[in-house]
Amino acid sequence: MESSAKKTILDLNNASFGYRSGRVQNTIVSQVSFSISLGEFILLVGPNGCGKSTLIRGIFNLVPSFGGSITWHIPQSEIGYIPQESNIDHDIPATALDVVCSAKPFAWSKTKLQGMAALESVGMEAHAHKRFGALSGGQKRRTLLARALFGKPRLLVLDEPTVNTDMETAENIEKILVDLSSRNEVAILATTHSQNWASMAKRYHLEGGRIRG
Amino acid sequence: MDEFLFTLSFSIVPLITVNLFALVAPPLGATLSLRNEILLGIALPPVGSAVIAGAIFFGVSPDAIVLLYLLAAISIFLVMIVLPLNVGKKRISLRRRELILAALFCIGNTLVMVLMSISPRVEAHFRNLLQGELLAVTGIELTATAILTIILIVFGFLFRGVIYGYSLDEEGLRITEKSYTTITLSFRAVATLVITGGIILIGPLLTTSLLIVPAFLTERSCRGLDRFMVVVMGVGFFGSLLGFLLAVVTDLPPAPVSVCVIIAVGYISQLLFGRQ
Repeated sequence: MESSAKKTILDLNNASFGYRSGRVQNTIVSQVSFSISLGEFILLVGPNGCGKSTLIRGIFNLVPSFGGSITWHIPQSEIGYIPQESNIDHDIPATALDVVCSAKPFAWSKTKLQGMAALESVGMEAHAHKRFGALSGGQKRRTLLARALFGKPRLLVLDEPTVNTDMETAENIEKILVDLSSRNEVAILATTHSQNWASMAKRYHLEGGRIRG
Repeated sequence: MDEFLFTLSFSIVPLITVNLFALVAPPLGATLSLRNEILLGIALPPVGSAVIAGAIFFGVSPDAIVLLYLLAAISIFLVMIVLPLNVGKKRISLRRRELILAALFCIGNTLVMVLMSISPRVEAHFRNLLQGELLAVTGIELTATAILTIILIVFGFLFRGVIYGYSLDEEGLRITEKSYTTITLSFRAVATLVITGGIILIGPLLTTSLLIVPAFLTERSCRGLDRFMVVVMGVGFFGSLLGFLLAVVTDLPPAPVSVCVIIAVGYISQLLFGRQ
């Protein structure tokens, strides 16, 4: 019987993604294959422009696919995602707690306590009722992490989670993710251009849209 | 005072209608502003108005309110569905999207003016309505508006988390919710219902103003989305109530007077709550 630590969450098989401009097809990521299982922490590493974000967006069907297959073994509701650039406008009246609770929209009125617990897990409980736009870059990142963790996902996908953060915040985020990964309750897929961050994670190097090693 | 009450007695149905809209249009406008889609609130009323003016020009009777409503609603819904989004595979930039909506605003208003000026069939009621004056609202229209308002408020309250999630991070919702398409279509349908009803019953000026002004004036003085929605409803409702009453007293057109009072109430709420 397969142990829970080996449960496969996602399979990519020769997947290619890119963009279309009129009739021109521009392949950014080419024939990428890997799997991720519960408890694994996978890091896609590569320089700017190598296709990391395109690969992440391709997995979620947000950019055109030009071949290959993507197989999900969990429902959509068990995914937590933090994009590289937050889609949340900095000038809106939402508080940090609002942002976290919006991750489970159908249970809004019942989720305030759980939202506070999610903020506490990333050290942001003192800022729960501040406007999201009034938070620093690092605080916003931690709030978004709380939001991604809020629904107890089985796959957490983070695109450049430490971009625009200071070293202390980057270390805090790394610590939270390593702790999560060690409990075998969640799979983590993250991208970074930093060679030193999360050194214990399994690394795939992306170069020219292909995985090398 | 007697004269005021006498005049008011003839205006009570439009007054109630305006105030019912003032309970649903501002939260819809607030949601559009959260989604960076507030220009829909500017562009769609002229689109609907142009379709109404065009339909009358081409032979639809001005008394065929249901048909005119349907034509305007279909055109508004189609614009919202066909307009490219800022999410997904075929996304366009916000800047480009805003240009398209600004162009629609110009085209819609131009068509309204041209069609009204050359059509002998656009009779006084519609001419004044499309120019921003409130006139007759029937008892049936008021009843339908009241029922729909209650339904929208109840469902809006129960599903406010979905509205917030859809507004704050549509791309994230698309990834994590399998009912994303249903949510999108439902939101577009509700927006169509409110905007089209507003154009026909209270005119494009007041409809656009109720969508935009309360959200614009209060978003910086609110902390929290629930509070934001309540405040915009309050500003819209009290602004339009006082504005309409002031228009009755001064014998001025109710729509522009209401807009002025909504602006005033919005500023007062800013002063009361301060900047958050």
